[in-house]
Amino acid sequence: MDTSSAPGIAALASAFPAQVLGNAELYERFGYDPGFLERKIGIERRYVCGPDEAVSDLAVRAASKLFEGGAARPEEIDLLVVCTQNPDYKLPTTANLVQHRLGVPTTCAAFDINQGCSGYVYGLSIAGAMMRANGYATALLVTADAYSKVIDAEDRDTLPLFGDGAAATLLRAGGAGRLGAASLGSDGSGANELIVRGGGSRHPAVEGRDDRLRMNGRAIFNFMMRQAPRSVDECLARNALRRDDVDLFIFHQASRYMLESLRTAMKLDPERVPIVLEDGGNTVSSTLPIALERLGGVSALRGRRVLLCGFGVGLSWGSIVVTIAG
Amino acid sequence: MGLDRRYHRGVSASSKSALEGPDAMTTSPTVQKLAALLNEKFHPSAPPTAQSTPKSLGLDSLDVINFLFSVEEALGVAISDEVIAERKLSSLADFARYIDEQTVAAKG
Repeated sequence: MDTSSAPGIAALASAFPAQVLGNAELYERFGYDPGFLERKIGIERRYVCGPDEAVSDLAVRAASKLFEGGAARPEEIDLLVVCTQNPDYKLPTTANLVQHRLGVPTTCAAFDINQGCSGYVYGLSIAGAMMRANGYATALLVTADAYSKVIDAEDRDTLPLFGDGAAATLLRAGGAGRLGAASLGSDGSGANELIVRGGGSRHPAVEGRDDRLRMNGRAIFNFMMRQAPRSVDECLARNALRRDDVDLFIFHQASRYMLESLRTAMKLDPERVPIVLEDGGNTVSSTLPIALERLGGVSALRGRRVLLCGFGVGLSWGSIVVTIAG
Repeated sequence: MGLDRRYHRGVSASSKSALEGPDAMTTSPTVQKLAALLNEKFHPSAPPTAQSTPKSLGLDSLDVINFLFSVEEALGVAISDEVIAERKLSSLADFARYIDEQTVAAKG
């Protein structure tokens, strides 16, 4: 495959539930210091699914925006990857549901990947590799999560961070946002640091089991501060690049405090490390594509090189370089 | 939060004069390193002393997590939440004492 037909990001779209969880309600419930949620967490509002709203609904809405905007037609899709940790059902995969609802042909390969905040990088890498291997012209990567379904409503540490949302990324052979080599990693020794214990085969759903999200914030902070810079540098080395060769470092939008701490530790100028989580919060696997979209998407970033870095539950991480044609 | 940013910016963690007044003459080198680290990274709301606690210096819960991470990176001693609770570590002097113990034990 020559460079002109290499897999690349062609278009992006996102979708959120209608229901809003704003800061006023959180201040009232939990009594944070004034300004804490805006200045430290960096979030004004997060969107949460209603009781009858599921992840496939968000996924379909995000992908439909791409089709309605003319970026592609459903019948063009050769590959559909849905990245989620909150599937509609234990089985079948959410990708099967989304394929059918979007009217994507049955000849399309469709499957889920279960990854969290590194999921977008994993998804891009998988989709790009399958496009190359199988000669697919068009792929759709949908990241969609609804952590509100597993968050403990009384947990003042996690409730303000996460929001529900989805993003759809259209990949085309020859797409403008050309994918470079990725650096991916995993450290399951940290599995307990961010976990929903109940509902799987270890602890099937039984009344009284802990089926809510539990997070060790300190462990996650330490993990991010140590692993994200390594992941970035490993990815750059795989692409024979230096930090100076990258225009924008888009990190998983965990919280403003985490991003500013990372930015300071890596000695990166603020304008090279966007913080884009005020509206919507930490949407898990969707923060990276949502940030890309809010920065104007591939059309606004022409001629620039972007490094995407995701990290979180697993523990898991990944970085990938996207070079956008001028 | 109301952090006072007037106080000490850009002091390196290796500075030997991170404390002011009598404390500078009487406190351990480790307390001075902790004070320098606080000055450099967290712009405390008051000059750190051996008796200061992170909270009394205006650090919030996120800053404390970052402070403990920075201590581990700079001084090579991890201070777990369990240790903080069991040993009732509160002031810079408490933290310094624990760090010194662990450093000696590691050299063993």
